[in-house]
Amino acid sequence: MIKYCMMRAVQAAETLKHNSIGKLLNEIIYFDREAVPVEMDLAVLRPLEDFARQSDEILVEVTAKVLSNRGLAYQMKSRYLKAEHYLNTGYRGFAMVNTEGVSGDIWCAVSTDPRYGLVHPDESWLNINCAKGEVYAFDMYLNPGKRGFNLAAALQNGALHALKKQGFTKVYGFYWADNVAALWVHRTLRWKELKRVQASRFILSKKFCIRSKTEPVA
Amino acid sequence: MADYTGTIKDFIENEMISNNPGTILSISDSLIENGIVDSLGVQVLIAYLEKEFGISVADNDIIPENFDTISSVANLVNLKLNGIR
Repeated sequence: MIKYCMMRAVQAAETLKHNSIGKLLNEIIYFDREAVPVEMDLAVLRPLEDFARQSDEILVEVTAKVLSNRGLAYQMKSRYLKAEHYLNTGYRGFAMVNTEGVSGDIWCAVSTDPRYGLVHPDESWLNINCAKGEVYAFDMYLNPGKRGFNLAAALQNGALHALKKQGFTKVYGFYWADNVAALWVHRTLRWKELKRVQASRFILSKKFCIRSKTEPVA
Repeated sequence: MADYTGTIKDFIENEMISNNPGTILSISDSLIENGIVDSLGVQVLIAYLEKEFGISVADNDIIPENFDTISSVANLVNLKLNGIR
């Protein structure tokens, strides 16, 4: 719990340092914000070559061993702490790395047996339910200094291909409708949009007042 | 319909290709395949279009087909200005 609080405090401090108080407030206080749940059939992925990056950059799976050996250099301390927290929770991560460190990462909750219930708390408010062999992907981070040149699409598409190689068949996720960058990446990769939901949140509360929206736009 | 390709081309060549100044694009070159319009670039381009042409680019306009070439961007602007979208 202390570690978790420390991670959140460092995250808030770094968000303020690199962005603005408006950005921080936007993430912790919102009313009727529209979320777009999405799903991807891993049989119909776009080729990796469609989003080629620099030749020295590769996608790696983030493991406790790699992280504890400091094999992954995160620019932001909060992101390193978050990776540690996610691994301890049982989530799996993929990172785009080069000699300078981590350009970005993305995390997944994997369903191995549906009898154990939801694989991630987001599933309940998004009205999705991962079956066995399916994955919920969340919390993609991009190093602010490395953004551009299709980093987001390359990272996400790379992680989807890695999950497919491991035998998974479908991935779910979501993005906020007001996040143009996320909307663009998901549509470029051809995620299928599901029924939208509206959610509200006040600081540390869970998301509440969840309401389903109309049919998907695209 | 008015031809806005030149205006849009100038903006993209002068403001969005910072890593490769002097690049000349044709109106049918893929902005997506060339890495000019990605998650960051699309935000820059939308902000420009909304300011320059006084249009509002909606959620369902933000699809690769509308932003892949200078020609398709100009077409979107025309549809917006003529109230078709």
